Amino acid sequence: MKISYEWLREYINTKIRADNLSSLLTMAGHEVTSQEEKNKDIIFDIEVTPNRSDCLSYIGIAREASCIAKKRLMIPPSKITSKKSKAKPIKVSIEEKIACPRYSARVIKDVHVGQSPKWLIKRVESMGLRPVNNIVDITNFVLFETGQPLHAFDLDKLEGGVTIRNAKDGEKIITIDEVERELRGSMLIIADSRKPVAIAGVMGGKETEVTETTKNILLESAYFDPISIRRTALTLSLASDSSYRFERGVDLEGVVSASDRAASLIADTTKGAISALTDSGIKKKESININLRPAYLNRILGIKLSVEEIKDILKRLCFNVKGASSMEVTPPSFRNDVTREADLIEEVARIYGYETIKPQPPSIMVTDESPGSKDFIKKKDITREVLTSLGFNETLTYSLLSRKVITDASLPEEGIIEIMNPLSREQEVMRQSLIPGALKSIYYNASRQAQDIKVFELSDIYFEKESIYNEEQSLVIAEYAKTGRSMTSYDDSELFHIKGTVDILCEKLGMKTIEFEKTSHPLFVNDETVGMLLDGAMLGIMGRIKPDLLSKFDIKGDVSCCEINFKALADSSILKKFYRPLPRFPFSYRDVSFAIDSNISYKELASFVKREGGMLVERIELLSEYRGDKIKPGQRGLAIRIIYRSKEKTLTEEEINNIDTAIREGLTKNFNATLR
Amino acid sequence: MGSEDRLKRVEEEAIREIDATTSLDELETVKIKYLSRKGIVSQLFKDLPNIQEDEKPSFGKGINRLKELLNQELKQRSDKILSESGSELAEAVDITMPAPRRDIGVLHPITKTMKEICDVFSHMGFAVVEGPEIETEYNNFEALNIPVDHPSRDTFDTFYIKDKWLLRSHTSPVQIRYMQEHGPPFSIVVPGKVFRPDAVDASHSFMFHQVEGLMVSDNITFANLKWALFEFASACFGPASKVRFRPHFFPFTEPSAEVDVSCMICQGRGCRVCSQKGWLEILGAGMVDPNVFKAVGIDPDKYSGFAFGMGVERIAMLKYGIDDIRLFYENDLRFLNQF
Repeated sequence: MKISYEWLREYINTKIRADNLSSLLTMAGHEVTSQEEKNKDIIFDIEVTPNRSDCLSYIGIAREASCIAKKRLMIPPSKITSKKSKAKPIKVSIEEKIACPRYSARVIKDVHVGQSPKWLIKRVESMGLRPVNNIVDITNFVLFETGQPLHAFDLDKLEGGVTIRNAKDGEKIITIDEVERELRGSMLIIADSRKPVAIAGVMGGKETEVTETTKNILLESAYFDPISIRRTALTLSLASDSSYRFERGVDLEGVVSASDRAASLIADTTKGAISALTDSGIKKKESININLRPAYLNRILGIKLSVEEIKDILKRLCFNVKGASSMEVTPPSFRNDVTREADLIEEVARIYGYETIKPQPPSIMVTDESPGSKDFIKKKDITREVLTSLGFNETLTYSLLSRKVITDASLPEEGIIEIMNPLSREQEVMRQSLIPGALKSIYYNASRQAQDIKVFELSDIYFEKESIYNEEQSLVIAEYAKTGRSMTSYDDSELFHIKGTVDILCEKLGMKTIEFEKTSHPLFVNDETVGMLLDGAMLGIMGRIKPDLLSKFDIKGDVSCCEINFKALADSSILKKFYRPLPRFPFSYRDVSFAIDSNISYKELASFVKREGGMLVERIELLSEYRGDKIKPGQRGLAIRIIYRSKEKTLTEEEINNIDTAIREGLTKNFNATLR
Repeated sequence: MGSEDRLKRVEEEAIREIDATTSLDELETVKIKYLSRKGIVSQLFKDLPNIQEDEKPSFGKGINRLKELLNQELKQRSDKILSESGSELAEAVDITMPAPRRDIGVLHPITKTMKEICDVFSHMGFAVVEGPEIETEYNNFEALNIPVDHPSRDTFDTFYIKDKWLLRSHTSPVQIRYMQEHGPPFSIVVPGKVFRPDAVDASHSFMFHQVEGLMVSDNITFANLKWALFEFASACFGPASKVRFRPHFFPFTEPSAEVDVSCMICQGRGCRVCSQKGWLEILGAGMVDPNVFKAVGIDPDKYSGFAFGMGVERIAMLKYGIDDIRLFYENDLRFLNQF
């Protein structure tokens, strides 16, 4: 709320410097977010929290300031001194007693509508409003001064008395902003005998508004139920200074004094004659007594305030206090927010000063993570560590996407979760895969001249399955090369880089062996799509992205990537390590190079070698793969290195040669390999 | 020529040749020439039978001494060559040339910041707990004392999915989930993604990250909350940073506070980043509202607790001096690699 320093000072019985006032209010919970000098005045912008409707006015803010600074608050007199008219009071009937507990209406005759006096124009302008006429300006002035919204009708345009009732479905009203609005049955309105003349607490009607020709007015001051006003304002998407205050709650007992204040100002300024007031409904707020235990207060805050100190603070805030070791506290009628002991504790802490409370360490308390969750977090850390040390950069991409991205990426739309109220098409649906995000990151960097890009993301994906919303941790690893290397060379291909990365990751996570199997997938090039299997269940997918798909993402180059169900991966990872004794004897190796039918897999060959070599074959390494015209069509050349080691002794040349010969013969005999 | 002279001559010759060598290869040649099986020293031994009987013993001893001497000389020379060759090589290297670069990857600055924040609280004994991003309206609002028709909901614009499901607009629902399953005492810290329908600009994002904390026991006070957040600010922003607590309103805490840290850019003097205030708001905190305890079946007369929550992007932006939140989600490698 905007507050003029000059105006505010009319209500505080002393001069407080602007800077002091600003920090005093800020430290009492009314943050001054900016202050700006304007026409020899200073305008504060104060953030009034939604619970403090009583501070949405000059008197409210002045009351806080004077309470903290221990100065006297000066409320302008609202007693009506000017001439009275004998006009008959208007008939008010409240049909909705819950939505409208109190309604006051006052007739003022023979007003002279015109321009406001200078002082009033200045006040209205300092609130950022455009002056309209003296009547409207006075109702606005009193709204800002007291926090009580008022409305003035042109009395002569009202037919009969006023009724506060719910609208009938389909009833219409043109509001003062000249928009025709269709009303619903749940909306509270003010009606004359024919039709709605105002949307209660939100906005008045055009037809009955005060104009230059208005002679007699009806001044409304009421208390409307916050929830009712809030719902109407939300349904109509119509917010006003009035609805803002009503939906936060005004002072039920301040209804008439605000009306008096406005009436006397109107009488003074427009020479109108005030008549008696019709005040219907509840006059007094049901007072509440809150039990406050000083010991409990001190326990929650960690301080030692005496009963007297607590009483003093509460009294300064206009609370009524009785008792000592157990206090009975009655908040003033304008403090709708204080209903419980906790609210009182906050009040005391606020005025005592948060800054005065000394920090104190709590008694030591260590909470153990559940072992499952601790392990899972640790596995995520390990994954990030392994991937960054292999040169992959971590990215974070949005969980919400446009539907077009899903279609572009040829991803299935089944089970996709839609957002009901997206702000833009970019937030229509929740991602079911991290791959589109990875492609977007790659595009972003490739179009900024990055040559080689290695990225990963470990985040949630979301899907609906059997009416249940699921979210799962997923891991995408992607590698881009401007000049694609694809599968042309085994040790330079992005796909094998990814596979190697997954291998190391699995090793560091203590995984069982993952099986890689050729499969097909709409994202990936047909012959370069690999399924990752763990105990026969699909753990993830890997491959080279189809070029037509890349072009939809405007990527020129080659991208290979994999996406892994991280939850499943983590579930089967065992972080516990056991030491294996180091080998005591040296190893020897033999290289074998041969041409072989292309349809025989490395896996088959390797398991044959292991079987044939038995315990003495420690491991097998693939040295190179050759495909090309130096070899028979339908065949490829492979060079492997077999590493031999015994646990018991140093192997002799002869022992190794014997096994090596057997393996070579086996390769020729069983696989029709041509040794070279 | 006497046999003594002969040994002397071999010795002088050998030493001269050894001293003339400049490399280990040359030295090896000299070594072979004198000390190998067919070398000059071996030859001398073979000549022993032809020596006069009375000179034999001293000649034999002389050869052994020569052999020992040459071995010593060779070792010395080899040490000298090694030590000198090292320095010659160093002169030839242009160490101003850049080394071939082998990049490692980096963690995203948000991951990093989130981890740093969690680590501070882990060291105070807080357990790290996570929760789902798709939440019920009840956990996100009602259980946290945010009723449907209350203006306090206005500050929580929320993405809805359908029925009573939504994308959590803060990490606080994890408090509810945790307290439904665990009784006090406990202290937890909750990192995670949250969503609010905000138009994206330099300071707004519809997705961002928060870290939430909650400590509940039979004697937790506001003074304890201040202690925990002072410790946090000192660890996260440096021991010189000042902290201030301002009263505020949150539906789920009472008393509530907004917590400011002295501006790390201007050291509190006032600058553009802190809008001349000298303070930067970094988190919201307070004592758990009794209504929240009631919603999860904890007796507010028996237990008390504090809660706090902070935006990770905001903290990262302040720490690293980043002025546009969108940078975090563009994933420009030139940006990511700076952290």
